[in-house]
Amino acid sequence: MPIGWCLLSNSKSWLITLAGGAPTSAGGTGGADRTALQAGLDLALAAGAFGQRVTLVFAGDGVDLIKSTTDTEDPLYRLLGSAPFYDIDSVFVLDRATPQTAFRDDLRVTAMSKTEWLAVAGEAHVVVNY
Amino acid sequence: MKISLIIRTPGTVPTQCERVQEFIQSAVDQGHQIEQCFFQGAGVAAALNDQTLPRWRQLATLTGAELLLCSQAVEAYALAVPEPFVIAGLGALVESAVNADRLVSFV
Repeated sequence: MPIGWCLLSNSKSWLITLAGGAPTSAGGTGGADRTALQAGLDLALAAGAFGQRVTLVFAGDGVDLIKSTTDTEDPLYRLLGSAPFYDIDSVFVLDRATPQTAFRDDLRVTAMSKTEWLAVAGEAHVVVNY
Repeated sequence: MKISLIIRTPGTVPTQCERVQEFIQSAVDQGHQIEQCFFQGAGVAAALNDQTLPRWRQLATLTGAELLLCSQAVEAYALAVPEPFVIAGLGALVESAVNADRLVSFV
């Protein structure tokens, strides 16, 4: 049996949201929890490597990873750049896309509303937030 | 229903870890099956906390669930791994998530 067929036969849809920590009552998060971002990104890439269909969404302080202004030598920024090699060809930004926001140009970044995010969560087999 | 868990609760807050253990006990009491507990990040310290470790051993016997510690976190925290815990990578988590009916995350 071809290996690719084995992987796809167990393929599920995953929604992984990277926000870098829970928002505080003040609305912000007090800075991104980079450990959480790393863990979530690692899981997204691992799931992609195992033939899973991954929808990767950035929210809160996690959005910094897809901004063009972020240090391109940042290890997490570079790691995210490898996403297309794991069949994660596009990523989404939750309610933070404005015409003025410049995103990194090595990934296809698409805006997603909270309504769309909830709809994807309702359809996904696996939903995890980091 | 087959349930797998991702546990990232910090060991500095024992009550959060106890809540996870209560969830597992309740799930089993209601006839569900716990497939795997994958401890990630600060959750590995929670797993090996002196206060919670005996209960984890009881739950492992009760449920037969795998208790997996993220290899990256074990290395980062320089932890010794007692039985019944096992070091594992994210592939094991992905496999378990695919096979389970639900993946529940505790942070």
